Amino acid sequence: MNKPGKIIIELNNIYHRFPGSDWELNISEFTLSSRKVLGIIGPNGSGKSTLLRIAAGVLEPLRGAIRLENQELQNLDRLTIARHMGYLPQEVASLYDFTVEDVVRMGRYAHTKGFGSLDHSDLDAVRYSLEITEMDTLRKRPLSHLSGGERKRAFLASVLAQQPKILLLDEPTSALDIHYQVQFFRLLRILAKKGMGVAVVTHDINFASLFSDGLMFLVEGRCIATGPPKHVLTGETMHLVYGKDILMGQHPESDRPYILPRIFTEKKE
Amino acid sequence: MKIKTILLYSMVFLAVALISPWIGPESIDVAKVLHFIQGDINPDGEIFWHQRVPRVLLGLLAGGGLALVGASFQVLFRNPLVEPFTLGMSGGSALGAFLTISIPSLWVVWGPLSSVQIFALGGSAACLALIYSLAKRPQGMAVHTLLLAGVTISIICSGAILLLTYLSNPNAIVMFQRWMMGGIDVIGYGELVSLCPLLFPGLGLLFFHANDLNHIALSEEIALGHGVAVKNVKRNVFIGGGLTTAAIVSLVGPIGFVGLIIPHSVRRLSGFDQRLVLPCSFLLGGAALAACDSIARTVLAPTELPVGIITAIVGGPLFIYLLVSRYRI
Repeated sequence: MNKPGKIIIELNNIYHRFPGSDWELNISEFTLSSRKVLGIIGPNGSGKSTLLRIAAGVLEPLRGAIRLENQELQNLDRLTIARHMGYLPQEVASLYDFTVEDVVRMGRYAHTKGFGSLDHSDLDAVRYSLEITEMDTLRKRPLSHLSGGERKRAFLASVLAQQPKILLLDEPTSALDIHYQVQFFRLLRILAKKGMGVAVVTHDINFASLFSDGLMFLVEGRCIATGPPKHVLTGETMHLVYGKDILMGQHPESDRPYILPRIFTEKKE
Repeated sequence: MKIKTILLYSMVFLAVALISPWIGPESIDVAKVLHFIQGDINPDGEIFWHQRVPRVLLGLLAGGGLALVGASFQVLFRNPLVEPFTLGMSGGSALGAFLTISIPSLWVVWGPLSSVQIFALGGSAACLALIYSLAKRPQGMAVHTLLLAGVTISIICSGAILLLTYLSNPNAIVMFQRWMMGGIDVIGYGELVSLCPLLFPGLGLLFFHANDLNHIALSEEIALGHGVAVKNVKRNVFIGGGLTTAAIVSLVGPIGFVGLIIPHSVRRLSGFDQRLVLPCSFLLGGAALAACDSIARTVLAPTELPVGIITAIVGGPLFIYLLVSRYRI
């Protein structure tokens, strides 16, 4: 987990405010390196998704610099960006009921020429993505016949078929049950081991703590702590952000911190 | 699979193209038509080659174009009820046409184009430019603004048309009403050729973006992630659809339903892969309009019904059938 990676995407002095709102995002630095999993955590409205959308070039910030492999993101066309970076948004409301395979094949867009016809290497990538996400048995299912978690995995497969160097994932496990959540985060570790850089926005602090190399803790549009999980998830920070209703512990298999809810509001000595 | 589907639609298209020129109030002798090409001037050949064939060609192009624009716009606006005329281009076109019909001093002729066509084209082009400038944003087109602006401009044009109707003499009103019914009856090769400089670039832009529209249908953010230049695609589809609609409506008037019903029928029959839906909508739309026009010129022979009446009367019930059937639009 500790091999040094190369910085692939770098954001500096990002400032954004949506028109008609006084909420602000202020991030002085955000970097994502190859071979690393970065967990972005924080309470609702802390700017996790907004930061990810800015990094993906989907949302243009009012101020700030975004560099993808030492090139200004705004100078790159979408095809070039897509060959380096995969982005999975939180919600996908498709107009038509595509099948899982359709969706995964569409992930090859940046590698194909001419109306999305796929050659052998494309089909290999599609097959690999379907297998690694355990979606190959559901490949013919239309999106409307999938559970929330299966949908998430279908779209993840689509992004993986893109074969990017970095992955930006917005709440990829929010609808998954625990088995697939574990599978999913293990998969992220495997991808990182193979050289990918992964940034994952999640509500699940425990999964982020157990499976990330680094964490970024956002509160109200600012980064209040960043670094290895045990430095970010201190009792002090957690109580500051989430109040006194949580207990801190340590995972039995590692030195990683985890959190539990308290049952009683007042602690009796 | 895909090739087969397109071939099937092409066969329908070709069948209509080959059969409809023979259908009409006057019966045509095959031998005379063939002699006509070899230089033997006769009335049968004259009707066939100089009236029926260009008319069928226009029907095929106009119907195909409208259906293609409808199919693309329904994805662009993520709205199943959008058709080529939703954006108010027919309103602008109608206003232009009515202006020159009711104000004789505006009468001009340019090449093969009549005054009505020139003004109709100007009206729809003005609408297109106005809507585009209203909805243009640095981060791309505001699709909802586009739709609302289009519908509003449509309403403004209707108001202006009512005002003109109130002020005009009855002859002009009858002429205008005939134009509004849509028709592909007054047509020669010159008009057909005059359509091309706008129509073919428009059609080309739409076909070119068929695969990109699949990604946009899935989700604009996913499309961006996949590498689709969403902003450019949306602008090109809008402009391509606008050019096509303007060219068609200026020549044939607002022919309803083709742009709405044909794409939905194609999606029902052949799925929603835009790489199939767009070409198949073009082929089926062309066949449908040319076939409706054959009905229009025979059913009340020797008088002709405006083709807009046939498409609405045949198309309306078909669309209601689509709505109530289990198919999800």
